Amino acid sequence: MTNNSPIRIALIGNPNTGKSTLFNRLTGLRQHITNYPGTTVLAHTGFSHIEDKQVQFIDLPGIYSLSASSPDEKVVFDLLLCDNKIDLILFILDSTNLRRSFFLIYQLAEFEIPCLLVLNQWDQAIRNCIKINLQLLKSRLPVPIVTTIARNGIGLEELRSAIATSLKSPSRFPLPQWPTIIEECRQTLLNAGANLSLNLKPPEATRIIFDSDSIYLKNFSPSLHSQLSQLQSQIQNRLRQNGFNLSIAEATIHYRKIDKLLENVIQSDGTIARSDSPLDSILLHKFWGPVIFFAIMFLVFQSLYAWSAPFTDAIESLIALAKDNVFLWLEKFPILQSLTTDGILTGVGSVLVFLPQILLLFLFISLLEESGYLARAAFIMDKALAWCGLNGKCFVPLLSGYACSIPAILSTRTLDSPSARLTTTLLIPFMSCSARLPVYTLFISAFIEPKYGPNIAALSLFFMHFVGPLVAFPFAWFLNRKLLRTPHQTFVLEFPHYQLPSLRNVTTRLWESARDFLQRAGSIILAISIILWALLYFPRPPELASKIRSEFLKTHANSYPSEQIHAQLSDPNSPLSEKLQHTITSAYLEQSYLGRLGKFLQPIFSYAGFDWKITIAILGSFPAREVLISTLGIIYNLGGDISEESADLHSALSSATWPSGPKAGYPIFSLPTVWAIMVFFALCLQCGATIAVVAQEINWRWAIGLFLFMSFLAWLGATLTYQILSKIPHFL
Amino acid sequence: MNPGAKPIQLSSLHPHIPARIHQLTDQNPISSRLAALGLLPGSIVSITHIAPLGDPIAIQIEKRQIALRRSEAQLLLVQPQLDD
Ligand SMILES: Nc1nc2c(ncn2[C@@H]2O[C@H](COP(=O)(O)OP(=O)(O)OP(=O)(O)O)[C@@H](O)[C@H]2O)c(=O)[nH]1
Repeated sequence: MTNNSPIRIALIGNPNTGKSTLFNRLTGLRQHITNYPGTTVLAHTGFSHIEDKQVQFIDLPGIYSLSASSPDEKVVFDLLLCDNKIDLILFILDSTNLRRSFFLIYQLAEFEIPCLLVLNQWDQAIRNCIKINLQLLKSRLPVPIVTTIARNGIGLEELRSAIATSLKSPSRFPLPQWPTIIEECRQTLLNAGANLSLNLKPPEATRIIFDSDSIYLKNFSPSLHSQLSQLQSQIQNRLRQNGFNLSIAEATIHYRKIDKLLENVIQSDGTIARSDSPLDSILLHKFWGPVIFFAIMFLVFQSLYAWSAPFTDAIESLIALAKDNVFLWLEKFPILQSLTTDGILTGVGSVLVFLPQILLLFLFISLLEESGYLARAAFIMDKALAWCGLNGKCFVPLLSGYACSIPAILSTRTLDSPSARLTTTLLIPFMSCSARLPVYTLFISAFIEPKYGPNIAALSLFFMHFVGPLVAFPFAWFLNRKLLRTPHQTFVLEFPHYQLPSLRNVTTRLWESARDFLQRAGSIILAISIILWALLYFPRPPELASKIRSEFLKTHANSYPSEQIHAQLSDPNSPLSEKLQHTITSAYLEQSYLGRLGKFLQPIFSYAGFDWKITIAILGSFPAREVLISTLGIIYNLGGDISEESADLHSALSSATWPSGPKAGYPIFSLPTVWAIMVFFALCLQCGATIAVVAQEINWRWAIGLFLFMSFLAWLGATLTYQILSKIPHFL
Repeated sequence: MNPGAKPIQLSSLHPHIPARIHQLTDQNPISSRLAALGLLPGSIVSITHIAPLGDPIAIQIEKRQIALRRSEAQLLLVQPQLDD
C-alpha cells in the first residue's frame, strides 16, 4: 500500500443484508452516487476516517453469487480482479441466514483480498431465536468477525477498530480445496492462459470452468475468446464424463464446506415449521392481496397527483413573485429583464417544482421498501410485467410516471436488475404524465366536447392516457424479447422480515435523491431553459415593433377616432394597448430563431395536418409540455398568460383557417388535426427535464436516442392519425 | 419418509407440502443461480404462497421465503414428503 493512494474498502454481501445501512453509518452523508461506466448499476462511494487515515468505502450491489451473467456480478468481479484496487473487503452477512451468506464468501476467497466478516442484523437473529455460537465460529476461521445492528448503529465502534486492526495485520479467507480433477482442470486453464501470454487469474479460471455463459470470457479479444471457449468446452465435457452436474457442482462443493463450518455453530431447533409471517397470509392473499396492493398504489399516486399540488403551487407563486420584482428592477434593460425572468427564474422554477413530487415518491418508496412490503408488491405484480422483460418491482416507477416522469425515473434506482432499470427508465416517458393533461383538456374541451358532448369527451381523455403505454409496452417486448434478446433475468426475490421503517434510512434516501436531482439534472434543466429562452428571444430587431405598431394604427384607424387610439395606447393597461402588445409579442415569436425553425420544419409536420403555428408551439413546449398552451396564446395574439380553459383561446383556435394552399378557408383545427396533435403529445418527449434525468440516470447517448426515437414515433403516430381520420368522411 | 416417491417439478408441487430436492436440470445457467441460493439436492422446500395471477410462487427454504417464477421452479425436481 503506497502512502498517497487512499485506502479502499469494499462492502460486499447478499441483497438486503444491510450493506447500505452500514455504509451510511460508516460514511455519514459524505457519499457520492454514480453508475458504473456503461451500466445502470449504481456505485456508492463515500469517505471516512479510520484512526486518522482517510478511507474510501465502496458499497457494491448486493449479489447472491458470481456465477451468472448479470451486470451486477460483473461489476463486483471486475472491481475485485483489478490489482491493488481494494485493500479490504467487509463481507456483510445476514445473521438470520449465515449459510447462504457464506456461499458468496467462499466464491470470493480466490481473490485473496484481506477481509473482515460482519454479522449484521444480529437483533433479527435474536428475535427469531437463532442461536449462534460465535466463539466456535471464530475458532474455525482465520479472519476477524464482528457483530452489528447497523440499523441502530450498535457495534459500529467495534467494527471501526476491527477495520483498523485488519488494515495493519490483514488476514485472508482460506482458499477452497477443490476435488483433484477440478484442480487439474484449473491448472490446465492457467497453463493455457500463460501460453497465450494471458495473465489469467485463479478466480477467472474457476469462473471459466463453472459458467458456460460466462461474460468474463467476453472481456477477451475475439480470437482469444474462441480459443478459451474451446478449452472451456473440453474441460466441461471432461468433468461431465466424470459425473459432475456443472450447474450445481460449485454450489455443492462450497455448501458442503459451509455445513461443516457451521456445524454446531447454529443451534437449530430442528423444525422446518412454516416461517412466513402471519401478515403474509393477508398481504399475499389471492383476493385481499391485490385489493390492499391497489389501495396502497392509489395512495401513492394520489399523493403525487394531488398532495404535492399545494407545495408545487407555493413554489410557483414564489417564483412568480420573484419574477415580478425582478421585472420591475430591470425595466431599463429589456434583454437582461427577459433573460432573468423568462430564462433563469423560469428555469429555476421548473427545477424546483419537481422537488415536492420527488420527495413524496421517495418517502413512500422507502417506507414500502423498509417495511418489507415492496418485495411482496413485486411478487403480486410480477406476472403482469414479466412478458415484456420487466419484473414486478417495475410497477411502482411505471405508475409514478403517470404523475411525472422525473421522480419516476429517479425511483428506478430501487430496481436491482440493471436491464429492468434501463427498460423501465425508457418506458416511463411514455406514461401520460400530468403535464400532458392541460394539453388534452384544451383540445378536448375546445373541439370534441362541443361536438360530441361530455361523455365522449371524458372517454377521449381516458383513452389518451393509454396511447403511450399501448405503443411502448409492445415495443419493450420487441426490444427485450426479439431484438436484444436480453437473457431472461432470473427473478429471485427474497422476502425480507417485516419491520418498522428506520427513520434514518428514510431521511437519508430523501436527502440523497433531492441533492442528486438538484446538482445534476437541475443544472441541465436550467441550461435548457436558458437556451430555449435565447432561441425564442433573438434576433428581435427593434424595427419590427414599430412596423407592427404603424400597421396596427392603420387597421384600427377606421374603427376609432385617432385621439382615442393615442389616448388608449398611452395607457399600458388599456385593452387596445394590450392587444398591440400581444400582436408585437406574437410577431417577435414568429421571427425568433425558434419560430424560423418551426417554419422550416413545418413541411414535415404538414403530413400530420399541422400549420407553422402548431409546429412552433410544439417546439416551444420543449422546456415543459404545458408551455404549449401559453405559446399558442402568444401566437394567437392573446398573450402568454392564458389557461387551457380560456374561452378566448378556444374561439381563436376554432376560427383559425388555412390562409392559402389547397385547404384555404378550411379550419386548421379540424378533428383529424386535433387528434393528431394529441397523439403527438402522448408520444413525444417534449420535456427537457426528462431528458436531463435520463442522461443523469443512464447517459447522454440514451437520452438523446430516446428523444429522437420518441419524436419520430410521435410524428409517425400523428401522421397516421391525421391521414387515416382524414379519409373518414365523418371527421371532415 | 417416502424416498421412493416419483420426482416432480417444483412448479407442480401442491402448496404447503414439504418436498426434498432431487435434482436440478443440468446445463442451465439458472440452475446454478438456484444452487447458489442453497437449493441443492437433499434440501427441503415447500410452496408457501402463489401470486394472485398464478405466477410467481413463494417457496420456503430453511427459514426464508424466496419468490421464483414458475419457469425457474420447473428446473427443480422434488420428491414430496407426503407422510411427514
Ligand atoms: N433489524 C435490522 N434491520 C436492519 C439492520 N441493518 C439493516 N436493516 C434493514 O434491512 C433492510 C435492508 O437494508 P439495506 O441497507 O438497504 O440492505 P442492502 O444490503 O444495502 O440491500 P441491497 O441494496 O438490496 O443490496 C432495511 O430495511 C434496513 O432498515 C439490522 O442490523 N437490524
